[in-house]
Amino acid sequence: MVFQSVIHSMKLRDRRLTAFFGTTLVVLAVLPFTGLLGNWGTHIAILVMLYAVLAGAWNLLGGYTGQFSVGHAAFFGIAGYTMGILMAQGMAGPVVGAALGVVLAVALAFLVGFCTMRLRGIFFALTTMALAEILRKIALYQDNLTGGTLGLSLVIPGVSKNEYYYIILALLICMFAVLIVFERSRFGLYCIAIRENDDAALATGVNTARIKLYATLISAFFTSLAGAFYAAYIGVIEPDVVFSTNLSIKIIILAIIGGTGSLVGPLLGALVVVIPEELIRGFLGGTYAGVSGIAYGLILVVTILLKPSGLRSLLTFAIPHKRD
Amino acid sequence: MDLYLFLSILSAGLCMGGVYAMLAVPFNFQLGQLKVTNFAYGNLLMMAMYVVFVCHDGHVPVWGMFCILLPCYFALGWFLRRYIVFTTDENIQILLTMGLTILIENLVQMVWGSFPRSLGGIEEGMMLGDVYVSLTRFKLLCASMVILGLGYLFLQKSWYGRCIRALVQQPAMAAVMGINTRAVACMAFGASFCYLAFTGYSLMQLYSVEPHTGHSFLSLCFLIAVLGGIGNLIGTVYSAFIIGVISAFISFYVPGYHDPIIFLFFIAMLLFKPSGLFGEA
Repeated sequence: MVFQSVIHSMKLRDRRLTAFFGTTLVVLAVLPFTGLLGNWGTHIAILVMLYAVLAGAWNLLGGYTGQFSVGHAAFFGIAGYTMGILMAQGMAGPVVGAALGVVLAVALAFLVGFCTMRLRGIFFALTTMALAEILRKIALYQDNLTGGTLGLSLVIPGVSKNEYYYIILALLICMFAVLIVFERSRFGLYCIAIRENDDAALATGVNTARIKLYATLISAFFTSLAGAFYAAYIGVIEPDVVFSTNLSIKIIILAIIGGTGSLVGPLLGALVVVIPEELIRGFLGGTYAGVSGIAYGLILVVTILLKPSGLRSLLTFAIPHKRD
Repeated sequence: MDLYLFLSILSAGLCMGGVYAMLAVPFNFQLGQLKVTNFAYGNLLMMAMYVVFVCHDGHVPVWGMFCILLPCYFALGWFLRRYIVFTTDENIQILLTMGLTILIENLVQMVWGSFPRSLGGIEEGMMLGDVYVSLTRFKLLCASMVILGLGYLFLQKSWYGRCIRALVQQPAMAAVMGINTRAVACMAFGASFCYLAFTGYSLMQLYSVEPHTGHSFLSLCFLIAVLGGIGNLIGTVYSAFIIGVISAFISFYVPGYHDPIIFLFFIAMLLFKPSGLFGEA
């Protein structure tokens, strides 16, 4: 009954998005049972969902609040490394390690958010990027703790690939549930107001600094969950992968191409970008791995210049938006 | 602590300060004055360093290398400002230049691989009494000061420099006064890219380059630009020297913690005085 009324109260545009959304999630839930995905297919699907979570988390801070963080890899890597270090020292199991990793990442986000909550634009972007770089260098140089360039390996026995698939699917659904609630809440409205015009929002009485801090915390929470998942699934974490600016930029590309400031954008972006990249890497590999990066750069520039609202606008063609 | 040791580290810091000034002033000019957030600054610098490396490997003389590098970078800067990064929205500028950044980084990685490249020269030094002064760095310091000084004189005294300053201070009024704002902005942007190319040459004398060095230079030059005040070019030069000296002392006494300390210093400054030590222009 409630569900029906919610659907009927949505505009046509939202219904289309919900239909796409719902279909994708149902398909994803059912996919492993159909046997269409082999080992490699499951791996690609897991990566797509992982990147969708990352892009969605970034989108909360970047797309909805307008604070472009170029250092989200910091939160991603901190969770993974905490988990890895605790497990390597034998102090904790995977779940406790992951939980502590998330706590540490959120604490870091609080510190960073507190320092940067009055900043905007390039200040915020480069401060977050510098943070990720600092963590990368610390992870590289503190060999005894973090294994330096070779990184750490965590092996969690007895978890099959399908189980990882469902874990990340559950994480994806959780995150989107939170995003749906967020988008329709007063907090979400404050964030959008900050994105549209920070000064006007401040003049209207929105505590911009605090709202930005909260958005950073929620974003870091989901990013760190994804980081802990990555560490558990891939089994190896290296500073040049989990703390790299490349990862941060890749998350941003996914969110932008999919469409910022929308629920479905990150998912679209992940589908459209990650699948071809993994296919290219699988078939070409080696030196041609750089081709996908070059393609990203070009696509990003072209998307921004020609269609700044990204792919999600293709789904909302019924209603024109003012900001396109 | 030994006075001569102190003076040696100080001289190293000051010389690096000169190089850092050359690094940060064009960035501050682009960011604060031309109002272009150039996220690709670090990677463009890295690409310039690779070009220097290639020319050195191909035994091209230094003047020949500059004949290739400077016009290409000027044209690149002009093209970027004219056709790609002409919006005033900061976030969009970040995204556009970010696309450029990844493009350059992957291109460089495909062509030259991830292995660090360097010119392989030996750093010359001399002893002034008991104080060790690095000759390479000192020459770079002098070159940087001369070139920056010439740029500053151009901006202050020449007619075109006055056009650029008018454009920076009051774009609308400059247009009303008959200055072709778009053309002047593109030229100024291209000129700052030439400075960037020279910085690439300077840095290549001192460091090795690999596809990821762009990001650390970007962080550093952003730090120096913010410390000096966004848009304040003279302040940037002073702050470059300050950072150079601090950096030299940190590298000597606590190596390995260099980046975290500088970052903490940066955060402290952002919290207490975001307009920089010397104020915005």
